[in-house]
Amino acid sequence: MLRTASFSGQVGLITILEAWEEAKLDKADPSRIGLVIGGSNFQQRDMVQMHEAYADRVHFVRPTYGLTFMDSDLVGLCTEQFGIKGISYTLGGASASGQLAIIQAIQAVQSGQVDICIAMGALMDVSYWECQAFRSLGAMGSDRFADEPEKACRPFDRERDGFIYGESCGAVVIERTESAISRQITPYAIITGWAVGMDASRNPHPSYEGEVQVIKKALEQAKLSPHQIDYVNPHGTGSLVGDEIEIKAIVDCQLSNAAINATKSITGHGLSSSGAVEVIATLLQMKESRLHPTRNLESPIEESCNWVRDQSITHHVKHALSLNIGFGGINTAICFYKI
Amino acid sequence: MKKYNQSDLLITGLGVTSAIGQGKAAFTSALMKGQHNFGIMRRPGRQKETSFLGAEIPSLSYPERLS
Repeated sequence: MLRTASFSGQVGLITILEAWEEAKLDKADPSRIGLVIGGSNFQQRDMVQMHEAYADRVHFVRPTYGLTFMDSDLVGLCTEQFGIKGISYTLGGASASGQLAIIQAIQAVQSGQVDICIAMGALMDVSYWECQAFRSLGAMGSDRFADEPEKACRPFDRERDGFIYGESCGAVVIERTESAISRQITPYAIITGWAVGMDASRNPHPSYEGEVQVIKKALEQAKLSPHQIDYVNPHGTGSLVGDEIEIKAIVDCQLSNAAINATKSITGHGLSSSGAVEVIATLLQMKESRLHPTRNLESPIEESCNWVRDQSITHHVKHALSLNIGFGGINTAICFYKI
Repeated sequence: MKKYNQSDLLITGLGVTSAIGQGKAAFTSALMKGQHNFGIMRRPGRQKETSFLGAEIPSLSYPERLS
């Protein structure tokens, strides 16, 4: 299976396997397991390479391209490998895809479509075309730090000038207690609240109102006041406008006292995967009672926030809030509670 | 599991692969140390006329079950 899989597919299989084994899903009924794959256009780099290789001999194109150019190839690949027979589909939400997939998986379990649902933020394998377009759009960082690449990715710092891409993939298993109990699993956390809200705007710039709306909705569903949140994992890409708007929304929602860092300062921005990977970072930090540092946060754009700066810190997190924003005017938020 | 209500929605498994590590242990360790993997991206199909900064997965380790 791995031999014929794209790079996104290989990384997806490896990532799901880790979550699958931890949740002991071999013991679960495969017809009651679902898989929601967050993201779209996973295989752009493969496609560029293939187009270049066959440009002068189109008749000889690899027949399996008819499968692999579609995002649903990941659905087929992963459901076949693991024997998943419940539901499965891909879900595009740009940089909010990972969190959107988690929210869809929650709803699939809530509605009884399946008992267990895996949400994956898949690796978006970008080519030079996407990189150049993102840079031209002003979203991706410039080559200002070409000689010092370690300094380029700097969310929430005054010297930031755009996101820096980072390959990643994350998978999260979601189910109710009644489903998990028979397999004797120790859960990471309870999902207490979530929200999706649209800006009704195609503009790549996020909206303050959209951000505030999802933060408030998620807290309301979790029945939490802002001061009960111990930790915020923000979207925090390093974009000039996005970081300003997001931190203003966080401050105005009275979350300044919660500890905050930026996972992308270490991982880079995985685009479709980032929401899932940052939820995983949130849950692992909750488990460890330790928060990771924020790289390159030398001069924060908002001094009033409780930043974790250049060193990790011990911090017991009971309630955490994770945020994502995607092109297309998509805002998402999820609250977690660790007993 | 006694502390959880039957209807609670739980996270019961995690998997992660990234430029800073494959698997939760490597990922967590790198996160806590702030260990990055940023550099000029070298994967075929990511450079033409110009290059871009980013963080690429150094290598994949293939579990036996998938081989």
